[in-house]
Amino acid sequence: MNDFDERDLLTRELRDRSQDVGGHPLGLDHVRTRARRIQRRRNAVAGTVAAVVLAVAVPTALSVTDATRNGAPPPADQPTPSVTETPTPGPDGTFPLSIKDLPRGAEPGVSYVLNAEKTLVTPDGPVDLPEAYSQITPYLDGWLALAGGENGYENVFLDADMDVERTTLGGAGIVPNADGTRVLYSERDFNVAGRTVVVDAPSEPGYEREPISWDAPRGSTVAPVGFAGEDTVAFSTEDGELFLGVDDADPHTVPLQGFLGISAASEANGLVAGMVSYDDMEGAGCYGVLDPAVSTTDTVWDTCDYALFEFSPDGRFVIAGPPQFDGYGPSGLAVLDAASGDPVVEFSPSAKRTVTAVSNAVWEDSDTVLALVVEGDETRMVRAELDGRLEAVTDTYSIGMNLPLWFADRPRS
Amino acid sequence: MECLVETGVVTRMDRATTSTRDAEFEEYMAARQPSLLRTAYLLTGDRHSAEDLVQTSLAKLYLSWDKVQKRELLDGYVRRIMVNENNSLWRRAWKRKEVTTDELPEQAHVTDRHDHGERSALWDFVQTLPRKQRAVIVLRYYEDLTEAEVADILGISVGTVKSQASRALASMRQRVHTQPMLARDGEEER
Repeated sequence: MNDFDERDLLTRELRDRSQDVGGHPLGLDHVRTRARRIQRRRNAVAGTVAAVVLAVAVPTALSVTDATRNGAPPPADQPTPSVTETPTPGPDGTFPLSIKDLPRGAEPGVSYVLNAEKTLVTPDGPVDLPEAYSQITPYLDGWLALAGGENGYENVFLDADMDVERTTLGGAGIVPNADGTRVLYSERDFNVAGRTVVVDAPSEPGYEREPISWDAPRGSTVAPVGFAGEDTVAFSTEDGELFLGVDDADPHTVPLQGFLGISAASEANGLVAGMVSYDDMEGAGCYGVLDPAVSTTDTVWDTCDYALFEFSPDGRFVIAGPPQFDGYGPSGLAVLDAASGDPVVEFSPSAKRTVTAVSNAVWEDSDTVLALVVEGDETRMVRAELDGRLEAVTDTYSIGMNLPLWFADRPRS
Repeated sequence: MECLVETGVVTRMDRATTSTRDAEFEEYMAARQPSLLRTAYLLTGDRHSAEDLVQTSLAKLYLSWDKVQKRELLDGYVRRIMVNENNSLWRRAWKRKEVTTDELPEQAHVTDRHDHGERSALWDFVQTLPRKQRAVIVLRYYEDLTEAEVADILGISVGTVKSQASRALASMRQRVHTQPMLARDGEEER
């Protein structure tokens, strides 16, 4: 049997299997009822934002702006601050989110991959890639990339000239730490059948730390989440098991019970964020932050108004967005206080008749977020400041059959 | 639309606009629902979850109806909603808890013509695939989308689509060696 036979078999089985599936036909009322529930939830979130952002974001905006104007100039390797004026939030307390008519800011301070060009665009300049890797990050004197191979995810170790040195079976992501000295990834151990390990390895030449590894459930595919302190990492399996890997005299794993899934960890203060409950009727869930040093089951704070995505490098803030996602991702962008969950700033789509979504967002530094925003059939990377300023940092790309660009060192899904 | 739903303040013009909009949506829904349900069934593996997935996906499409200006993009958009919703880590976690607490009574009563002791080994195989890989298989071999279209919907690279599909076919080939019935099912129907 060859590939064509197998494809044909699969196609016929799928068609045969599904042809009689009739179910109960949905009427417009069914759909509208669920849509209203989703909409009520969205409106409730917007109401919360209006009340809290007005109270919190504006003073924050003033302090950030003042600090920028009066403080020392930023280091040379930091993005040049925008000179655009601080905008005023709308009546709902949020700032407009759009990729159109934006001032152009400095080049992004994080690397990204241009798909069609097979190019890694770093703050130091573009680098040609052998292929448009799902992820790629500096590793020792070369690079560590994640690719889709014949047998699943592959870790691809490349030298400085982007020549492949070796590959191993990998996990669903690689995550560097905030200062780029360590990287968290997963790989299969071919010496022991089914053994999967999570590895915390030094990624900077000369960084004095031995690689540490933890055993994941046998045969599992691991999604590394991140570093939760100097000696702790967080990871999950595709079967939904959640763990902390602790490096002490006897490195061990600790199951996390407080979440349905984990989405972020803070290297600065050890906090871990994730979803604590899910309402399938509304297609959204409630999220929380826990401090594993205090409890692995009870959260420090919860919210049903935001999904939580990534802690700032200093651990003070966490990127968030509306908890309902549709095809492209959350329909807005927010930054919350990581200690309390209070909103600091929120951006909502300004184009009411066009699909707008944030497909990914990362911290550029501890006060600035870079977001890949989809608007209609175009996408662009924008820089969002805590005072509500928004500026474009890349050109606008048409969304065709392929994703045009993505952040290089963050998991894409 | 948000104001219409929430405040009940509906002017005559609003009513006309809403009526037209709903009629358009209903027409689209009527035309596409059977197809969406079939795809949802292949993605989820049971009718209860498939109906639920289609309802949520259509509800989200309904809320975005006015924003999708290019009507030729509707199918891709709702397919993307459906696949992402089904792949959602959170939805999976919720489903897992729901199943473990036995709160899916309807699922136990669902039958189809293949469930009378004649479950196909191939269908069993498809159901063992991880969700994202199953989505690749369904979109590629059932929906007959190109690798690039599948990559776009799933938010992954074309290379990953290729490798996921190739891996599934390789696993299937391996199963054929241990379950020759799987191959014969297909041979006999030719």
